[in-house]
Amino acid sequence: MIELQLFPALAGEVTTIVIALVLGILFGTRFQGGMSKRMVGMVFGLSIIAAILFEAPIFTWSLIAGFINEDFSISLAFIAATVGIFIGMLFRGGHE
Amino acid sequence: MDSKGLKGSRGIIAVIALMIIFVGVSTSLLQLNGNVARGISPEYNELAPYEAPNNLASWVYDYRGFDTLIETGVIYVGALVSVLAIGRGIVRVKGVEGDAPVAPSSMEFNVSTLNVILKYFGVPVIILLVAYALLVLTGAATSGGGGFQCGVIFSSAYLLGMIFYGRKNPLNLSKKFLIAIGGVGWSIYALLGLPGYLTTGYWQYNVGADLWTSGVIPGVDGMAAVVPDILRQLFGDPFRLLLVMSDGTYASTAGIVPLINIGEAFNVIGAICLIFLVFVYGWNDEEEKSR
Amino acid sequence: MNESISNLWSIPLFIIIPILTAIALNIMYNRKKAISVTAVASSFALVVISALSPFGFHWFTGHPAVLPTGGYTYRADLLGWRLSLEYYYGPLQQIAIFLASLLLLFVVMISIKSLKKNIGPYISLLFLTFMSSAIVIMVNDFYHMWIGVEIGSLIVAGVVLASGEAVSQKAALKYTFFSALSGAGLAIALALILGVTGYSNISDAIKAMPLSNGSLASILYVAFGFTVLSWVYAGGLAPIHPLKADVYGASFPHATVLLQAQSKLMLVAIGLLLLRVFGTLPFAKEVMLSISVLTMMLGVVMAMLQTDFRWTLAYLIVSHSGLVTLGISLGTVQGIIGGLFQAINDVVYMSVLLLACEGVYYFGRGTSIKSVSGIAKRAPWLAIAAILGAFAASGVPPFNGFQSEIILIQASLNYGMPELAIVVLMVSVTTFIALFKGIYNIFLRPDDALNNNEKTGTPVPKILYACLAALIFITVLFGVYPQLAINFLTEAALKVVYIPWVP
Repeated sequence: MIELQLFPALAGEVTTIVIALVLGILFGTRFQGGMSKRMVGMVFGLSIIAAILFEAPIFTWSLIAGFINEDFSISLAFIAATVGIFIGMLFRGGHE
Repeated sequence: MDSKGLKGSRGIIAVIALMIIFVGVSTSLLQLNGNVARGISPEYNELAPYEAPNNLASWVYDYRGFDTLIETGVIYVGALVSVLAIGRGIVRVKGVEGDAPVAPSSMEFNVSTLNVILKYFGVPVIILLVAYALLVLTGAATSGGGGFQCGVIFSSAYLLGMIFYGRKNPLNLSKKFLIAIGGVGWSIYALLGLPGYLTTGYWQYNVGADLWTSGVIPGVDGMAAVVPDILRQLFGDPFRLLLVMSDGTYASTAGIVPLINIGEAFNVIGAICLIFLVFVYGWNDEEEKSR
Repeated sequence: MNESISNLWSIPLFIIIPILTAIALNIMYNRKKAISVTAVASSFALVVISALSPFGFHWFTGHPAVLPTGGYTYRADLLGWRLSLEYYYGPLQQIAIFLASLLLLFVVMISIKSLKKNIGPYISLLFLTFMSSAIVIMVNDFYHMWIGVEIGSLIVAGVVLASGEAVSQKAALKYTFFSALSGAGLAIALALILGVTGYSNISDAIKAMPLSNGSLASILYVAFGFTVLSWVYAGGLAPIHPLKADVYGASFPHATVLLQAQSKLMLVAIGLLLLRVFGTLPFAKEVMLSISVLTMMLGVVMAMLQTDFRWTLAYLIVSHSGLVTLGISLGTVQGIIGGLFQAINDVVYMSVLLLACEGVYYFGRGTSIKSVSGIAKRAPWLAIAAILGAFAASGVPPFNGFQSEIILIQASLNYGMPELAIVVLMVSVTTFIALFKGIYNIFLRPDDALNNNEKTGTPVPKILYACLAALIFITVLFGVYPQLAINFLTEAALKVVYIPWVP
C-alpha cells in the first residue's frame, strides 16, 4: 500500500473533480427559480453525507483527491458537482 | 396491431412459436452450461492493467468503442424518431394535399394537487440527483459508471422536476438546448476517433493510453505510426492513475475513455430528456418560432 | 483477394460522415439553404470516396490481432484472433456502397427540391439509412451486425413516420414492434455463438466453431434459427412480407428508394453470414430456399391484387427480395453471383419505378389507379421511364433484370432444381402483368379530368428526370455489359463457398 500524501502523484486523481465542477456549472446555469440560504446549506450538508457514503474512487491515494484511509474517504467529485451547480445558478438562474 | 389479430388461429400459432423459441433457447443455454468458450477474453484481460482500472470501461469504450458509438446512435435515433412521431420534422410535398398529419396534443396533467412537502423537497432532490449523475459520469473509468448511466440518472431528475412542478421545472431545459446537447454529445464521441485516425490510421485508436506504439507491450508487428508525445500527454496524462495490483504497480490511463463518456452522457441527456419533454407537452412548430 | 491492410482510410468515413451530417442537419432543422449545401456536399463526398477507395480492412480502435504463436500483428492477411472490431471493404462492398451513396445523392436532391420546410430531421434520417446499410454490408462481426440491424430498423420507422399520415404511423408502429423481435433474435444468436466459440468476429468464430462436438452443434441450430428470423424480419421475407410492404408503400416513394436498398443490402449481408457460418449444417440451405420461394410467390400474388401503384411496387420489391435470397440460398458460386447481381439490379430498376411513381405523386391525386390517369399526356418522359423500368423489372432484354434472372435460372438448373427456374420465370412474368396493369391505368388510360383543365399538384422537378435518366442508363449498362457488375461480385461468391472464414 502507498502512504497517504497531500498532493496526488498523478493527475487522474483530481481531473474527475474538475470535470464534475465544470459540468456542474454548465448544468447549474440551466436551473431557474431562487433558493434560500438555508436550502443551499441543507443541500450542501446532504452532499457531504453523500460524498462520505460514495467514497473516493479506487486508486486515488492523496488527501487532495479525498482519500484519507482504506475505510474512510470522501467523494470530492460529488461535492464539486453540487458546488458547481450552485455556482452555475448564480450565473443565470439564481435571480427571478 | 389490434388485439383482434391475435385471437383465433393466429394467436395459437403465436403461442406455439413462442413455446418453440422458449424451449430452443432454454435447452441451448443448458447445454452451454460449463461449455462456454473463453475465446478472445483472456487476451483482453491480459491487457487490462495497462488501461482503465474498470475493466468493463476498457471493453465497452476502448476495444469495442466503435460498437458503443453506434449503440449511442441508437439512443440518438430513438429520440429523433420518437420526436418525429409527435410532430418535429413532419415533411410534406410541395403542392400536394396528402392526408392531414395526425395532430398530437399535449398530455393534460395537473401539478396543483401535489403535496406541498414534495414540492419543498423537489429542488434539493433534483440538485442532488444531478450531482449524482455527474459523479457517476466521472467514475466511468474507475467504477461501474459511465455516460449512459449518467444520462439516465440526469433525465430521471428532469422527469422528477416535470412531475412536481410542471412547466415551472427548476431544471429548465429548452427543446433547442436538448437537441443541441444531444447532437453535440454524439459528435464529441464520433470526433474523438479523429486523433487516432490522423496519427495511426486507425479510427478511435486510444491515443491517450497508447498501448501499441509506445512500446509498453512487446512483440507487436506492423504498426509503423507513432503517436506524437503531445497527443499522448494531452489525452492520457489528465486521467493517469497509479494502479496498485497484486502483480505490480502500473501508471495507467484510460486515455480518451472518460472524454468519450462525457460525449455519451450529453447524448443520452439530450435524447431521453427530449423524449420526456415532447411526450408530455407535444411539439408545436409555431410555438417554437414565437419563443 | 487477400488484402493485408488493416487501416484502410475510407471505411470510417462511410460511417462518420453520415453521422456528422445527420447531426448537423437535425440541428439546422428548417434552414433550407444550409441543409441543401451540407447534404448534397456530403452525399457527393460519399460517392467519390466509395469510387476511389482501394480494398482492405479497418480495425476500429486499432488493437492488433493476436497471433496463435504469441505476439501481435497488424497484418490482416495473417492468421490471428482480432482484438478490434473489423470492417471489410472489398469489391462487393464497393459496388454496393457506391450504388447506395449514388441513390442517397439522388434522393437527397429530390427531397430538398420537392419537400416543404422542416426537412432537417428527415434528411438526416436518410443519411442514417445509408449509414446502417454501409455498416451491415461491411462489418465482419456478429455483435456489430446486430447493432446495424437494430439501428437500421429504427431508422426505417423514422423515415416512414416522416409523412405524418395515419397510414404511415400504423405501418411504422407495426414494423418497429416486429423488428424488435428481429434484433432480439440476432442478439440471441450472437449470444449462443459467443458462448460456443468465444469470438464475436465472424471469421474467428467460424475458425473456432466446434462442429465435431455433437451436443454443441445443436446450439448452432438454435442460433441458425434466430439468425434466419432476423434475416426474415430485416429483409421483409415471408411470412412477414405485409409489414415490410406497408413500410415501403406508406413512405414517400423517393424514401422507399433508400429503404429498399437498405433492406437488399441487409438481405445480402445476413444471407452471406448464414452461408458462411451455418452453410455446412444440414437443411440450412433448404430452409433458406423455402423462405425465398414463399416470398417470391406471395409477393407477386399480393402485388397483382393492389390498386395503388405504390403498394404494387411495395409488394414487388418484397417479391424480388425472394429472387435475391433464392440465389444466395442455392449456395453455389453461380447462385450467389446471381443473387448478388439480382440485388444490385433490383435496387436500380426498382429505384427507376419508384421515382416514376414519385413523379405521379406530384400530380396531387395520389397514386391509386382509381384516382389518377392520363399522366402520359402531361408527362410523357415519366411514362417512358416507368415503362423502361417495368421492362427491366420483368427481365426483358437488354435491361439488367434479364441478365441476373438468366444467371439465377441457370444456377437453379445446375443445382438440379428446375422447379426453382420455373418460379423465377413465373415471378418475372407476373411482375410484368402487375406493373403494366398499374402503368396502363395511370399513364396511358385517357383522363376525363384533363379536359376540365384541372390544375393540381406541383410540376415534376427537372432533377427527378435527371436521376431517372442516370438510373435508366445504369440498367441498360448492366444489361448490355453484365460483366461490369459481375466482376465486383465474383470474389465475394468464391470466398463464401471456398474460404468462408475470409470476409
